[in-house]
Amino acid sequence: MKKILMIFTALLFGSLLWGCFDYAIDEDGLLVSEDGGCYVLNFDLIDTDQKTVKSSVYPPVIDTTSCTIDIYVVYGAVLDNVYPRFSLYLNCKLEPKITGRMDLSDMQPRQWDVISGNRKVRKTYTVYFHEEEPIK
Amino acid sequence: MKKTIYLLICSLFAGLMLGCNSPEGPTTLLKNDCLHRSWGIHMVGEELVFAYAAAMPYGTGKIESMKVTASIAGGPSTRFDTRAYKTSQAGVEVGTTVATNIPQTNPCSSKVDLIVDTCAITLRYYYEIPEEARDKDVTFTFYASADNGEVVSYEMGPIHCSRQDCRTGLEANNERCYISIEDMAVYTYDEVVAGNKSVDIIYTYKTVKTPTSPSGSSSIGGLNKCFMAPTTEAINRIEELKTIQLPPVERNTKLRESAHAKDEVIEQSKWHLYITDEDFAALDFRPSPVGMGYSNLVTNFVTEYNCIWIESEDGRYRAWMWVNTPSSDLTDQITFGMKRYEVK
Repeated sequence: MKKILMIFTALLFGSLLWGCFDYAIDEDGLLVSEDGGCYVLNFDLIDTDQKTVKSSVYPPVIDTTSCTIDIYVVYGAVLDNVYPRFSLYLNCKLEPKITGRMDLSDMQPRQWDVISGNRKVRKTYTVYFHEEEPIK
Repeated sequence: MKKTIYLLICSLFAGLMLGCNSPEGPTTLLKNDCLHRSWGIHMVGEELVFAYAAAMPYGTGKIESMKVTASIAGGPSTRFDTRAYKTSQAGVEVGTTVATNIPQTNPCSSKVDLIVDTCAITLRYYYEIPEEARDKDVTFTFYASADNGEVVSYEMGPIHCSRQDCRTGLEANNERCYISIEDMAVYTYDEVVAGNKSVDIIYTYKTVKTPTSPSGSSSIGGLNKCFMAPTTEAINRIEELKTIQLPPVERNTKLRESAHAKDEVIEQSKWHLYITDEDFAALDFRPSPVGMGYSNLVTNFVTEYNCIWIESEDGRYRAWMWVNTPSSDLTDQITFGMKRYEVK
């Protein structure tokens, strides 16, 4: 009986240690992988009514080489309380974190760092905001 | 051991029987019951509807009268419905007059005397919520009396009445575009100046052509239905709004477009969803991440789906606005409703 218990305990500890080595977790409780991929897949701005304000004509242009995002919003969109929504490559994370709605009404470029899944690559993305041009 | 179990079972049965015989106070032949038939948040001017029933065994007597006393005197339309209803096979309620109203000196009371010989009756009681009941609890005591001298009573409530006001069917267009929360009304510029009206929101409808494709063909793509605070800052944000005539007093009203908030009264739907006093109390216009933030301008407003939460500049009123006109209606004319909550 005692022997079995001991074996079980050893197995349990063993598995825990195994876990520690296999799946590293960073300070935010997010998975650290071995992947060095570091880029943005998509970008959107969500208004207070939970709907996008981006232009239906011009999709956002994401340049993963020069690390720029050009987002086009509909004419007259109010960007006082919008939620920037990034879609990132597997296991990547953002810095600074987006904690809530932001006031982007000045349309000035904003910068976010994208950090790769293995936390070794960091790329600074610049987001440029554009408004659809009305036809006179 | 066996003896103990036997004793225990005996005492259990004895206890049960005792329970059966326990006195429940004086019993009457006349019994009564009551239902609250109305729903909603019970705003001032709305009616609370009750169905009050009384009955006694056949042959033991007849019901003579019914009376109700409210803790706060109801509005002018407070009354007993003197008809008793049955539902026909077609699903229509058919009423038969069974009672007459007896005027009461106490303004909180309503009374009817039955004019038919019956031992069972259900009557409806309508209570118009008066201004005095705003944000207060109302309780009701129903009484029924029979010709054998028995009187029974039934307590209803407390029912909480809302602090809100609401207005439906307000009309606005590019001329009549100055919305006042205090008056819950829409004015033209001349009316605002002549009557010294307070203006909290300006409505406007503007269409701006934007390209539908990068190659250049165009469609109506921007602004549409807009609501803004009557301030220079707000109208100067967009070129097309700069020509709007501001009222003499500028008020920096807080506006926030939102979705997924509905109200049956204003929307005239059958979903039984309401904007409650708690919803207004929970509003937080502080910037994110503490609150939900606010703006002084709402553009591209989607009617029938979105709504606007409003707080007046002085913080006295919070309001909720819903536009009934369909989004497909591409004119400046809108019909809307508004709910208002006075913050104390």
